[in-house]
This record gives sequence, C-alpha cells and structure tokens, in this order.
Amino acid sequence: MTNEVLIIGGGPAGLTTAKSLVDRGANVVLVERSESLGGMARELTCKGLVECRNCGACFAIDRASEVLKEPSVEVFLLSDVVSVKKDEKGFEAKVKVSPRYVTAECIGCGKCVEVCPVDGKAVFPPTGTGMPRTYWIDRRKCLHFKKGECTKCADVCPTKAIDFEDRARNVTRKVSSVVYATGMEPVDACEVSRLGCGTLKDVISSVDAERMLNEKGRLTRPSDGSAPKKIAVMQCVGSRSVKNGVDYCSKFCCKYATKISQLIMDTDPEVNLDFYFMDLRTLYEPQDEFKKWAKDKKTVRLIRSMPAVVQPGKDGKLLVRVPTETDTEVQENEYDMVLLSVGMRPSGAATELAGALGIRTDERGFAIADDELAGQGIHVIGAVSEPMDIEETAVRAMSTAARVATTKEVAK
Amino acid sequence: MKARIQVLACKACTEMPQLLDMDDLMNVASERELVVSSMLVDRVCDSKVIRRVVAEASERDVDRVLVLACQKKDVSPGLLAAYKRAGINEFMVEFVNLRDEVVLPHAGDKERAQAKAETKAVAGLERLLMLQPLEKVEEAMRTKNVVVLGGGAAGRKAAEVAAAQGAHTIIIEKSSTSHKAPGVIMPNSTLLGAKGYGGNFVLSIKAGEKVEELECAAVVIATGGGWAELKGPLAKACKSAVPLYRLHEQMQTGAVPKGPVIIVDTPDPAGKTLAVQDFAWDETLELAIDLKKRQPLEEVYVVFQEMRAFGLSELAYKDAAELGVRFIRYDRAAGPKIDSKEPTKLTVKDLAHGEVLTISIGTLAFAAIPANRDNIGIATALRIPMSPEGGVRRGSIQRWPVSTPRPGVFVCGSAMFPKSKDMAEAEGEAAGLMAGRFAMKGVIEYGGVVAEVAQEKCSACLTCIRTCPYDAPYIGSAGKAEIRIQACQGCGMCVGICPSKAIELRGFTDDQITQETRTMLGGDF
Repeated sequence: MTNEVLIIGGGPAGLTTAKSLVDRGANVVLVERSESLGGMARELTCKGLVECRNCGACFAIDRASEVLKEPSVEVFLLSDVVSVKKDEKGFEAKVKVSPRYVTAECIGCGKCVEVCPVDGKAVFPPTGTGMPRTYWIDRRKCLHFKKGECTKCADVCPTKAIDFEDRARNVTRKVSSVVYATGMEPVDACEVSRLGCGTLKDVISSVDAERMLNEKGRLTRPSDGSAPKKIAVMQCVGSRSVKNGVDYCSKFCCKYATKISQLIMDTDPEVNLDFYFMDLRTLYEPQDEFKKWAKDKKTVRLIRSMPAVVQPGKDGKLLVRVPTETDTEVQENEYDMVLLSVGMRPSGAATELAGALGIRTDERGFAIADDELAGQGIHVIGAVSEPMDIEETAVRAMSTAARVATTKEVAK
Repeated sequence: MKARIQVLACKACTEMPQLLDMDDLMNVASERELVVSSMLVDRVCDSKVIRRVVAEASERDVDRVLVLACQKKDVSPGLLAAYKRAGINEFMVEFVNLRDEVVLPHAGDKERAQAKAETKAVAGLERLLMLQPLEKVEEAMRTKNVVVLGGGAAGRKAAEVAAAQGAHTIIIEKSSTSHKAPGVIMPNSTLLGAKGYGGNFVLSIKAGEKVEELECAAVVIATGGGWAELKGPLAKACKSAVPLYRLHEQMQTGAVPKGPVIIVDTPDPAGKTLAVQDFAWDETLELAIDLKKRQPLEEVYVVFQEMRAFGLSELAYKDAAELGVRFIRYDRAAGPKIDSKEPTKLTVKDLAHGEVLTISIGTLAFAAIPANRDNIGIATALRIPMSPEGGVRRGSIQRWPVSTPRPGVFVCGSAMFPKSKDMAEAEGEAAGLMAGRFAMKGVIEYGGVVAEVAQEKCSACLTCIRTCPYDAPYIGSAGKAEIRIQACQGCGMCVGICPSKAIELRGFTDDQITQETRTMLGGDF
C-alpha cells in the first residue's frame, strides 16, 4: 500500500506536516479552501527590521513555496474535501476543485486587475504573501460568465494566462491517513463596541495592522493617511472576556502585539506608544524581556489596565478613557491611532466533514485531538485543537509527521 | 582573461516596472565596460526564461552575472543550478535586491528610486568585478550516531523518532535509572566537552569513572528543567516552606494542609540569588482549586508577579477566582516579605488595590521552576548561547523550531524553558525528526563563503577562538590561527573582531566591500 496522506488545510500546521512528511518519503495530497497557501500567516508581517524576532510569519510562507516545488505533494487550491470514506485499507477522499481561470503562466503583473470593469473587481491577486503568486477569477462576479462577452483581462494579459475554459473537477484519492488542520479565525474586533471599532476610522484591529505593515511597511492613519505619532495598543480585545468574544486566553496575542510594538518603534523611534494589557503572557519569551525593552525606550509605557471606552477627541484624535492601575481614578489619554489586539476562534472544527471523520468538538468549539482518533489514522493538529502560535504549531506538526509515518498501517 | 558580465533584470512583480524605468536602468548597466549581455526578462524564476538566459550566457562566454530582482532567497534555485551547469561559479552570481531595498521603501518617489536603483546596479557591477570563484566541498559523516543528552520524556521520544529514520541513538543519562528506549543508553554519564562540527562531532563523555570519546553526527539536548530549590529570603525566613510539588505530593496522600495556604511564585521575589525560568502556573491553579474544593472555608492565596495562564489555562484561573482563591499581584521592587522574628506573617503590597496586606501563614509553597544547572556545562561544551534565566537558547525559527544556532545541535523540552510533558514530548519528536534527518544525510557540504586567516598578520591572540560561535578557528601547527572550514558558517564575527585585521571572509573581503561602498557614495545616493 502506498504511503499517501491527505492534509486538510494549507496553513502553518498543514504545510509543516506536508514538508516533514515528504522529507520522510510520503506522498501528500494537500487540500486548501482558499486560493493560496499560507493560511493566517499570509497576512502577517515580518516583525524584524533590525534582527529576527522569531515571529514565525516567514516560516509558513517558506514552507508554502517549498511544498509547491515538491513533486510528491499534490496541491489542490480553491478546493473542498467533499467526503471521506473509511474502508479496511484506509480512506477514500473526494475533492471538489473549483476552477481558477488563471494558469501558472501568470507573472503577477496586475494588468488584469486594472482593466477589470467590475465594481470591486472580479480578478484578484493571492491574499497577502500567499503562495503561489498566481491570480484568480471569482466566477460569481466576472462579467464573462454573466453576459459572456467581456474578455478585457484575457486581451491585456501579456502571457495569455487567462483561461475561461477552466472547469470544476472532482478528484478521488486513496490515502492511509488524514491530517485535519483547518486552523483558526480571528475574533472580530467590532464585537467589542465600546472601543470604537467600526465607528472610528483610526481604531484598527491587529489583523488590519498586520496587513497594513505587511503591504506598506509602515502604519498610516486610515482617516487622513498621516503617520501616527501617538499609538495605543490594547490587549485582550474579544478574549478573556465573559461578555464579548471568547472567555479563554488566545495565547499568541501578547507575543505578536509586543513584537508589532517593537516593529513600530523600530520604524519610527519618535512614536509614543502606550501598551494596555491585563497580564503579559509573552509565549516562548522570558517574561521580563518586553518589560526591559519598554523601560529602555523612553517613549513606551506599559499600562496594566483595560480601557473603558474610545471616543472621538479634538482635531481628529482619539480620546481613551481608562481607569488607573489601582482602579481608583479615571484618566483620559489622546491618541492618533488605536490598535486592538484580537484573539482567535477555531475554524472548521464543527463542519459536516469533521463530523463524518468522527472529530468531536468541546464546548468552546475546539476540535478534540484524541489518541483514539489518531490510532484510526485521523490526526487533528494546529490551532483548530487549541490556541497556539506558529512556533508551537510547527512543533506539533513535526511531531504528528513523525507519528504518521511510523504508524504501522503506513509501514506495510 | 578579462571579466565578461551578464546583467539580468526581472520585471515580474507589479510595483517594480511601475516605479522604475527598467529600460533606462538596463541602458545604464549595459553601457558599462565588460558587460557583454544584458537581458530584461518577464520572470527570472520561469524555467523557459532560465533556459534562454543561460543559453545566451554560454554563447557570449559570460563568467559572472548581476541579477537585478528581489532577494536571493526568493529567486528560484533553478537559476543558480542552470548557471552552474553552464560552468558559471555560483559565487560569481551577484543579486541586487531592488524590490525590498528600492521599490518598497521609495514607493512614493520615482526620481529617488530610479537614482538609487542605478547606483545599486553600478555598485553591484563594481563588486562583481572583484569577486573570485569559490568552491564547495563535501565530507562524509563518519557515523550515523545521534547523541541525546538526557533520558527523560523528551529525550526518549527524540531517540525513538531518530532511530525510526535509521540513525543510531545513544542516550546519555545522568542518573542510574534506566528506561526503555531504542539504541544504547549510557547511565551515570555526563557530557564533558565537544570537538568538531555538525556531522562529525567528537564528544567526551564521563561514564561512571571512565572518560570515553564518542563520535556522532548530531546532538539533541533534552536535559529537562531544574528541580525546585528553597533558596532566597522567603525560604530562609519561613522554615516550614515547601516547593509546590511537595505540597502536591502531600495532597495526593489525602493529607490536608493546616491553616491558610499561600502559594508564592518564587522564594526570591527580588530575583537576586535564584534565576527562575518560569512558574508552575497550571499546577498552582489546579492545586488552589483542589484546596478550595476540599476546604471551602480556609483561605488560599496565590501571590505572583505575572499570571501567565496561557491559552485554555485561563479557564482554570477563572474557576479558581470564582471559588474564592485570592490572587495578589506584587511588584518585583516591593515583593512579599517575612520578618524572621515573626515567621508566621507574610506582608505584601497588593497592586490591584494598592493596599499592604498581612497574611498569617498556615502553609507556604513556592511554584518557581529554576533552570537546569547542567545546561551551563552543556552549553559551554557545545558552544550554544543561553537565555538570561539559564535555559538553552533556541535558534531563529527560520532554521526550523527546536534548532540551535549551531548546525547539527537540536534542543527540546524544558531545557529551553519549563513546559508541560505533552509539549516536551512533541518537541522531542520534532527534534528527533530533525536530528535523524541531519545524521542520515551522510555528507556535510562546506566551503564557499568562509573565513580565512592571513598567517603572516596573525598574532595568535586567541580572540577569534573565543568569539566564534561555531568553534571553527584553532591554533594550527605553525602557532597561528587557522579556520576549520567544515565548521565555518561565514558569519564574519571573527573578521570584525580580529585586532590584527588578519582574517578575511571570502566573497566579502575588505577590498570588495570598500569598492562597492565607494561606488555607492560616488553616485547620487
């Protein structure tokens, strides 16, 4: 029997498992729902301007480009696993592959996006730093499929990479194990209404901040495009809360938020930065490191308090009302920009497919990674099973890869 | 023979052709002397383009290439491989990162971007002229041994996974207890020193009374965490204080501690005598909940600096607070105190409310987990940096998790910082995977960009030997420093620090760097 493994999810967990498995001689079928590989890491920014800060954003993207070059990995993008049937030899998986309408000839010049007449565009580049860099067309928006005449993108494409004849297809693969790594999704910062998300333009979530830093390399105020000089970073927005969002700690937010703060100070040392937090839980880092760094920077303040409300202030600034550390008084501080550090929720843990595979969820929606399931050849890894950062995800993925390839069924 | 240069520019990304006048840039480059071929291509990573470019290079007898594109890492390795096949040395291909160094930072300023791009191209050409071809060589690994330091949960997993890949595993275990694990287990043994480099290490191991030499390809550090110690002013003042695990053991036998229970994060709140890595938060919360459930009327205090209840442990924190466990956060500068004249009272300033509390002590326990003391010896022997708390420091995640800055040495489990058993085992498996794979490669590739000592300038001051993180320099038979090029990673630290300026890095010599810089400063930069 061949040593084939189906991996559901092309984020850090799925990619690291795939790479570790092919290094051990396995064949991998990797199914990703979106148009490119990299998962959440696609929209994360590298946080090291001077030196590597070990954020792990590049780790997932590097694995994505490696996996795409591996001949023993079959990658299906814009695809869904429709069903997985278990038989005595292993599993039979049916995958529905949606058409991309752009071939690998695409060089990413972006001319198609410029000429696309659809409002909001129908042809898109891959998300963030996702791999491969091939564009894709959304059939539901494209005029060619509505009226059948628009071929503007195909006419302008210098490499003739647009292929309207691309068709959806169903493929069936026989595999010996399944790795379930559908990852997580960020909590919407606007679930917490008191902090001005959605109503004040210069209040952005950490997801937006990562995206902005990833694309442009620096932060600008969405309201007027100017460079913010006074920034507030607020932790635990939508996590560790009984009212909004989730009640657990999302584990990696302190890690990324402290590193974003360091990156902001690296790019513009004149920024005044206030860091509001409840407890500093910098995963994988010594607990004092960020405190020492903040003490050395004269313009960074660590404030252990949860801001009560963000309101519009004078001259387009933001007014933050916040209790002092001992809860005795209320202070008012003005900022140019506010960053809300959001937590996470598991994604795809309670789907029909997960149910069919026998994956159960706990009361918070996390998939339960139990040994019995692993014994049957179904491995649940990554942030779908509990909150974890990229580094821990990678370790768990490598450990799973070691277990998958040493399972007796595979060795036969 | 005079140099013959090919200039290759890529316009694959959207921003570069929009911002820069690529034709102008190509003209500037191709007008230079010795440039025999210049090509502006759609995508340099495309296999068809690579074939075309390399065919032209061989036709014009090119011996060096300047690539104007993005960073070297992002360009397809197929390009270098194709040049290599065409007889062009891989170290004679110079990459100028226009995308990250010109296009992204100067996106708003066309003129400046164009001037900078041209200057960088010209400086790259100048540097190219000074380059010398370098060779890479292979050396066979003498063994397939993977040595695992520590036979705990993480170490045994590492040995299992490494052995499954065909490596021969040897576990070096300090104690005499033997566990089941594949390969050889050496009980009562410790690492004394290490020579060599990733692939061919020679370790000296003290086994019982004897000292043995052991060859190996890779090393996994799995020493685990340290044992709780009663060191520091609080432990001194209160003689009845116990480490948290001891209290846990007592509770397991069914005994219930008398009076109010206080769990403090460390016996040395000021952090002067005891370096602590972290605190046993999960265990603290679990124990506090258990105590409160057994004796709801007795007070339980948790005195801490930072509540690091990560992830789902937060739920235990919440449960404990709801059950009535009192959490008191203090500052390191004004930590909890016990007066030795009155050892039954603990005073601490609660930062959440700003008041000073005096609590009478029934039972006092400490949750601190100090670093493993063995780490110092191991880190010194293998030349690996340590964290300020005394753990083994991991390398950048770019080299994969569980790696260290030294090739062929991997670290897992609580040797880095305290972890749960589950996580330590996962890391053990990951380290076993990496070490096994490293050992099974069978060959070490080395050379290329490595340091080189000008023997006549060397005064044998040993500065390079002390500085090198990879143990590459040594004093040769002539009494001067030499570089073990198998170990050299080309970091350039010895080059920078050498007081006699006797060391140069191949491919980055002083002449090459100054020539490049001079050209840049001469242009409009």
